[in-house]
Amino acid sequence: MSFVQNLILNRVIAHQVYPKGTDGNEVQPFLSKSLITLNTAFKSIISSRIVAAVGSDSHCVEMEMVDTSPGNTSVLGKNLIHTDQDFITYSHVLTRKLSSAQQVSRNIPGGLVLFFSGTVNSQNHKFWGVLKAEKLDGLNAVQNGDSIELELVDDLFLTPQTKMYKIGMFVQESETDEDSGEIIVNERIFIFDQNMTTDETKAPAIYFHRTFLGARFSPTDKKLTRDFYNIARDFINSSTQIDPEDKPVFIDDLKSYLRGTQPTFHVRDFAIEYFEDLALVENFCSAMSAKGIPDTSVAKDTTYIKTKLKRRSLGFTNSIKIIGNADTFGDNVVVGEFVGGFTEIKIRGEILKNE
Amino acid sequence: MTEGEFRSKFDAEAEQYLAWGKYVHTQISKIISTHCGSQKVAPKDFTKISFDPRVKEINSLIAKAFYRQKPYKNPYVEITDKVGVRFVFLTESDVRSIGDLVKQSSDWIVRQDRDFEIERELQPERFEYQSNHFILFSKSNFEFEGVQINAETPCEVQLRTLLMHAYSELTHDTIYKPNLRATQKVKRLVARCSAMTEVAGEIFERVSDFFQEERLSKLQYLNFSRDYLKQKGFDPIEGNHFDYLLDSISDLIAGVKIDDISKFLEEKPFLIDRLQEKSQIDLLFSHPVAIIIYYLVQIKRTQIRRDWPFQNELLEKIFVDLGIAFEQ
Repeated sequence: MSFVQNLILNRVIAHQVYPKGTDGNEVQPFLSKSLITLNTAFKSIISSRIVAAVGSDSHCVEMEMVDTSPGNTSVLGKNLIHTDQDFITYSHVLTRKLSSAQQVSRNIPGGLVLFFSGTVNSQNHKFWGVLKAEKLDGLNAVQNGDSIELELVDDLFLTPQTKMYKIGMFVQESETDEDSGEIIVNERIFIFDQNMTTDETKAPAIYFHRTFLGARFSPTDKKLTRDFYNIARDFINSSTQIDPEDKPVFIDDLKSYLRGTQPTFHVRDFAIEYFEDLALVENFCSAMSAKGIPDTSVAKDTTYIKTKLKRRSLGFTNSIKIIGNADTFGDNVVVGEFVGGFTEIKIRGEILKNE
Repeated sequence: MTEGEFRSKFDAEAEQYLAWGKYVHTQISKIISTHCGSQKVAPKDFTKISFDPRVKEINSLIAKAFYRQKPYKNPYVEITDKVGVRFVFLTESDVRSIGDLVKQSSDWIVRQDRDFEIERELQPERFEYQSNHFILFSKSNFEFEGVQINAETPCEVQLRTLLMHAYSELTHDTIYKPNLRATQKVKRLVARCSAMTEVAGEIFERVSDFFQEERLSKLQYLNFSRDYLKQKGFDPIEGNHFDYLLDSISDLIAGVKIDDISKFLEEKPFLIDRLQEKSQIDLLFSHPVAIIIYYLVQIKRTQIRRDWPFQNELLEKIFVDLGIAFEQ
């Protein structure tokens, strides 16, 4: 279930941040004094970009605050939900914080910084968010009489190209405690940043979510990764829509997918890449969602399933290699004696591919 | 009765016959309308040809009355098709349905003179003219459109299918009147034709049922959607403007349970407001089909992306409302 359904924007403000100066000094951000007037068209484009970045099936990652200092972004950001004046004031504070975070490298580009607030879901939970958009350049064609002239447009922001923006969403999910009547607020943080990796050392990858927002990947990812593997494996094995001979192939695909270098796994991406049948894709996604696996990107951590993913390989002279899954290798490969220059190997099963 | 007496009597009563014929035509048209209402089909699509009441030409009547091989005892009374109406429908079951309703009506006394199903059973090896004929007699003296009609005035009603009508048009003045001689070859050809129309008729029936099922099943979703919208104070537009859309997604919609759509709407009460806003800008959102599309996006989004026949921007708006990323 998406947590940004029924997105209603009520405030937006835009500031500008700049890359580190050539003299090594920070170039101060430009802080706007007034809110953007929201018309239907603006709301539509901005909502569209937000949902594309943090909605269901998006590649955002849910995170948790690791910066617990009193002036952290979560604490400061809550002020954005109150009055218009608080919204403006604290958007300035946070823009300066982002600008400082960018000073760690000369290669971090400047861009537009949008702060927005509103409500989401049927329960109209309040949220605030920050979006940094790097600028794009392009060409505008102008018809002049009987010829076309080209104009350089180098300040285009927020095109659908998702590489060009990063978002942090802070949703205030509130529940009323049944017994005490107290309202409990549970803040959930969703970050979208295509430069992000789980290696939290590289500056361009971490300045936005770690240095600026103070968030990090949740420790529950080990469990989620293992759950994803187990549920997917069970789904494939029990599915009546998959031929029995294809099942081991899909399990192998699942393992390859998790062994990959991507720092995250994503339910729908996996399904679309490996299942051809779209009805099967939907069933798989529903099964995952029913078991609580998020429909957005999840930081991958294969610690609990290392042995399942492990490969075992037998290498020979003459560069021949036999590679297989570690847990079933022993059962399926029988190695004989080395006699007369040859090692006899017996492999259970028949040849599937000869490429 | 002499020819002259027949003529005068008919002259005097011709107006009555016509009036009775008009009354019968009007009443049967109402029967058809009501039947169409319950079947959710338009009368102009259901009745393929409707023939206005026609009074037989006096010379034809005289010829029929007095120049017959087997003479009538009382020709004036025995000839019951002095005025006739005819309705042509698509399938035999349509003919049967209307025929049953005509027989049940209390507006007249009915005598069925021809029944193609009974005739097939009684003489299975014969292939010739088929139609259902009813003689409708007025129950009492009454006035219709300013004309006094006597009790027991007859009107012949013919109900048949398009195929039966085609056969009849080919042969009605010729072969089936037994006193005319046709060559054996032509008789055989005509019999084959009648047999073929019976086979085609069965196929028409099956195809018609299939389309009816399809239409009703799509209708149930649209009706549910329309009822829901009206209940929430939203006035949807009518019309089949989005039939093309429904056809494009018909395999996605197959098997969808109305209960599931209902649950989905309950979980997302904000959809009505979103529809209201959007209907000011895009026509799609004022039509009941919009709700079905929202549901399909929720449960079959990859497939509907693939099958969507209109601009992507339109579909994207629905994704955004549901908080789902619309990626390439």
